[in-house]
Amino acid sequence: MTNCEKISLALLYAWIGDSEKSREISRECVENLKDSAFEIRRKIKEIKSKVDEDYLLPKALREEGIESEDLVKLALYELSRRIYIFSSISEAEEYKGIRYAITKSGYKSVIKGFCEICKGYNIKKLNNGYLVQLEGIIYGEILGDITKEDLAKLLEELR
Amino acid sequence: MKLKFTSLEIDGDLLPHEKNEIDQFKELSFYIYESVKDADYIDLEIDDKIINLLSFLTTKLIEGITDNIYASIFENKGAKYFSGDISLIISEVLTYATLHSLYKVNFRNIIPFRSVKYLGTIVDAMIDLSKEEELQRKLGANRGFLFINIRASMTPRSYYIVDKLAKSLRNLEIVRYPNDYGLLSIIIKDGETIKEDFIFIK
Repeated sequence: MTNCEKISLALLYAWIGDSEKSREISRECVENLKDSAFEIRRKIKEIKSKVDEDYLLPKALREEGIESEDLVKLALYELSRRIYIFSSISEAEEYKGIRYAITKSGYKSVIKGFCEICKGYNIKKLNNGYLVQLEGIIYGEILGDITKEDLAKLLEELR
Repeated sequence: MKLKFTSLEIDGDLLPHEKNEIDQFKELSFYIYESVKDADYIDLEIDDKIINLLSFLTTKLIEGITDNIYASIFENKGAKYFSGDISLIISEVLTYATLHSLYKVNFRNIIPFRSVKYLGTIVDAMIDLSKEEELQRKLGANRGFLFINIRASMTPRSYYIVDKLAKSLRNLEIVRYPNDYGLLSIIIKDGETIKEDFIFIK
């Protein structure tokens, strides 16, 4: 599947608001799959027009050489294209290898982050919220405000 | 939160693919629906704290999913309608959370395709089996893809579910046939709880 296996990572970066990294991964995937995606799409269209019943389509596709991997490639291409086009212009903060962003509403701070080297499950319960880390994905909700310094301490404990 | 969970396995060869077979997806879906409806269920505990972080995989821009699950399932709704967008998100996160709880699936190995499902040749999500040991054991295979389709209904009607099941199965077969694996996840509001059915296609 070429480099597009990393596409979940692009989704994660888009989620925390790191559009630069997200666009970087998705662009690479778009470039890689562009040619084959067009070809696969053309072939599918051709085969579809020949099949009278929906339930005969899977076999018809395989017989004409369109395998599961090809359909996945086409979907990966389309997904990366969407990520690339629709990623908003935003930036994430960094603390010792953890990329994160804080969204503040009037009464709550939501922390989303990603840490490449973190493993397993770790939770930090606080008096005014919680922070959780699962296989590197970080999410937290804290009532009220939180300073960068305080958050850095909490992130440290989540590793 | 607690879910009622059942699972079922069916053989992919049961589904019609060839000209000398009859298009019986509707009938098969009816059998599947009947078998999971009254099947024994297990109580499955989902960790509420991991639900919100699953929003990186969901199709729509909705946050605070845990709150929405509790609001949709456990609160009196009065004259209000259920939101389709919310039930879509609920079904997605509960499916992924269940895969994690039962088969230790790493969320980073799930590729969600629902946002590009308009292609017509892809399902809601996909997992590369070579990365997931527990799923390999469950399916008895160490390679290939698991293609996932997700269906939800907060106001379940039998004919509606059977109809959607048939549609999902047809869609799944386009990409699964003949050697890969499929999973149909059905999320239904059942009184004051949620019932989740996993149908594996091997």
